[in-house]
Amino acid sequence: MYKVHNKSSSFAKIYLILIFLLLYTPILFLIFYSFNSGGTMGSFKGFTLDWYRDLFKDMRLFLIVLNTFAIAILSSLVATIVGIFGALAIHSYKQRKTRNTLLSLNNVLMVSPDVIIGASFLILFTIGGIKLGFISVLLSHIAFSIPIVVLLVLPKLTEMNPTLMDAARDLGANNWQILTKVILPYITPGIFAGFFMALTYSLDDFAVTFFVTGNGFSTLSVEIYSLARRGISLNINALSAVLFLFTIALVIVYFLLQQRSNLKTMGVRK
Amino acid sequence: MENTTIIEFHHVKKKYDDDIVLDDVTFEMERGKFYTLLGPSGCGKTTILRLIAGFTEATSGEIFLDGKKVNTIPANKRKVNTVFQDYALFPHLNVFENIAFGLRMKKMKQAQIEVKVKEALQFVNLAGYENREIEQMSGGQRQRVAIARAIVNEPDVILLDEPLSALDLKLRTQMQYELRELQKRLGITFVFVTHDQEEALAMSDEIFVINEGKIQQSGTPIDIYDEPINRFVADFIGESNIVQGKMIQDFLVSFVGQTFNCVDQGMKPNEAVEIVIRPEDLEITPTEKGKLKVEIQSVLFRGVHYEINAIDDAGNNWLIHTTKKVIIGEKIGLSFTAESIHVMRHDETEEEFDKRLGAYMEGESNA
Amino acid sequence: MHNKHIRRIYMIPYALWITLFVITPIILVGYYSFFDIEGNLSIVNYQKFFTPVYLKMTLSSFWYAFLITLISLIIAYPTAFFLTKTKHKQLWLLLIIVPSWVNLLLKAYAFIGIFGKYGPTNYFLEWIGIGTKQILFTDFSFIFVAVYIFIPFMILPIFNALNELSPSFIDAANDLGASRWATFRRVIFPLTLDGVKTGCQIVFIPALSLFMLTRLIAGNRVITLGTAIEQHFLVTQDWGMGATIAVFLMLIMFIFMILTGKDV
Repeated sequence: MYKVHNKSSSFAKIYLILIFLLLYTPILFLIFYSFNSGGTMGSFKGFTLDWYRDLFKDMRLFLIVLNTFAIAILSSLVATIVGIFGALAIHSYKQRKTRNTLLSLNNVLMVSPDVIIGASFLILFTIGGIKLGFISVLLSHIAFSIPIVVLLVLPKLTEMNPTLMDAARDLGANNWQILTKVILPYITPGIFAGFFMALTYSLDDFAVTFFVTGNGFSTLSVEIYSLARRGISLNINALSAVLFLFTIALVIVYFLLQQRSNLKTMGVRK
Repeated sequence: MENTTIIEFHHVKKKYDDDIVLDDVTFEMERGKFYTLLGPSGCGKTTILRLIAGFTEATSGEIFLDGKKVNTIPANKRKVNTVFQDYALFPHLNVFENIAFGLRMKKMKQAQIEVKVKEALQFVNLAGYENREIEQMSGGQRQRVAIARAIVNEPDVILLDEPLSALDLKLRTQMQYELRELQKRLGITFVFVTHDQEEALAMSDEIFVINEGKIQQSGTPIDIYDEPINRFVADFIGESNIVQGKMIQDFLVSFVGQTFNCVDQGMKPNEAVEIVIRPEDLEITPTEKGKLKVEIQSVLFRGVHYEINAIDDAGNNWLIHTTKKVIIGEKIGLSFTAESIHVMRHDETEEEFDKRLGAYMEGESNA
Repeated sequence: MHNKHIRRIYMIPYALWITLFVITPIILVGYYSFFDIEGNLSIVNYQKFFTPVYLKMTLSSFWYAFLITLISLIIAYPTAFFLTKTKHKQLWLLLIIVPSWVNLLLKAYAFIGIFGKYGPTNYFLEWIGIGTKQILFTDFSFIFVAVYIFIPFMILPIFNALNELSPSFIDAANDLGASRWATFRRVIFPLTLDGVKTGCQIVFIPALSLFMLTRLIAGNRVITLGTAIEQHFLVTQDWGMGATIAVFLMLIMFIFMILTGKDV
């Protein structure tokens, strides 16, 4: 509605283009050099797919990828379930004070720096006698993904008209039926968003994992870190290209899911 | 004539992408009057307001404010202020700062600002509320702050975009009086947008009835109510019985299979027309004395009157407002005067309509 | 009565999580900060923290985080503003966010190449006649990469705040005679301050603790609080000192949250 005049709108265009260039150049740069036969990110000698061949032959790396996804999917699933319970619990408290206290506790892990989460979990697992490895990483990922699920599900619950539940009860639904037939369908978009965010949190996490991973177990992030500390290796470039494609695919899936759920809720509204 | 006109639209068109929102609109508004733009949502009335305010630019045509063409003059340079539908009071500023906003933009001195804001607050009966936060104000109070914020700038025109729609019925009625009173005291032109026909009838010096991007009819509330130009206006303003008819000759019209005397003229012989009779102009009589014979279908008690739905032998529905008590299923007669038959021609433009009415008036004074 | 019973069931896993993974770790960090490297109860760590070495490190960590937040804000605000004016703004926003989903370490790694001795930046500098410079392992490269990483996180809350801003406020300001600049300064910016605050929170706190960036990009030239914590926990195994720094980092975080709190 607010009309931007032509002069400033062309400035806006140039500015936005520069920002997009800034944001995407490093990523495209990485992918570009993944085809370099020269072996460095300095001069492009010639086109090759060797780095990709290496990448797909690397069984160790393949195992790490599997681990990373196993952790991501398992932790997001558990975090989503616990998060839904959490949101339902917070929502059921009517006093403002209790609610706010619970929300503050919920948000501690959201705002804490990764190092602190990592360090404190390291202490926790050591004292609790949990061996560092798959289990400790999985537990950490569940732990730091729960609050985001709660934060994405809770608004859906609050926006839900309470008379919906009264109506369901009036029509003879018991508590379980109210939960499964009324509440859960209504908050489904929030649950999807929560699960998805938990997934990306887990896939992206480096710092917390780095602290609690111990020897012998590794996720992609940790692996990339140790490779990068050793210097440039175009294997990483090839890996980044594959991961970028995967990210784009995820974005598209997420976009489509959102579109579908939008259509669904619109259908309900009508 | 020139200096009494404050707003003038000359063949103004507005398109959003391919949607025509305003289609060749031409009108003039005089200084110091209360105008209402009335129409259903999406009819283009708010667009007219936004064009006057300068929030949007016309696709073609000319807009004049106080004799000056303002098509490309931005909103902040126009001597026009708006009372927004949601009031648009700045939540980060208190009442005083909201009202002072426009004065601060003019770089007025603090002492003078204080005097002016105080005056404006007194004007809207909110003296002493300077330091309140917007959140602490009720809907009606916010409304007044919004008005004060507009009038403090002493604009030539104040635009009001459905400002009463968020208020409850009682407050709305009260604000209608207050707004009208305020406009008279200030003597500034008010342009008021609403979809509520009662509001428009009660408040305005002149009403512009708008539909589908066109001004259907303009005139005083009484003119528009009594002589609707077409079916849309008749339907939108007040309640009406509309039936198809035929103009036999001047002063003689036929509908529902009968011929009646009327006061309309200037149409072609045997021209197909539409007939409007207002429900309050229908009088209940014994069956034998009625011009129409109808059977009562339903009765609703509306407080001041009964609203009766009746059906005649030809199957036409008739809406009647009466204070007489009747019984469902009863057969009654309906009577009406020649003056209460309003004849509307199909597709008559406002110009043609005015010309015909003018001729009619002349004929009457000659006679 | 019935509802309370159900609530208890909902509450069990969630309460378990709060106790085990929110409250216990905080207490444990506090507890460990009172042990020296030999495992004896003492306040030697706190005494150490108030020596010039650690205070200087804290200050410089602060300074870097401040610079990173400020630069991100300066770049992000206009971006968010212009984004809200585009036609398919949600799509453009998504495109801004996509890079933030690329693994942070990959982005850091890309800059090792870009800023490297034989990378394109130096190639460019050579070409315009300035000559090859050491860019990697400087504070400049650290700040640049950190800003690069944080920009999307700063844009998002500001974009949301701008997007929720009712256009009638802008119309109203305009209507009351405000120029475009005055409208921005007196209406748009104050009304989107919450988004700015959120953005600063999202950027400032992690910027204090980015140890992987300092390791990869800044060499050991920049030591943030995060680097120090990682060092103590994973390299020197002095958990007590690491926990002490963590306690202070949490304190700083807490103060910063109050300062940028939205309810003030």
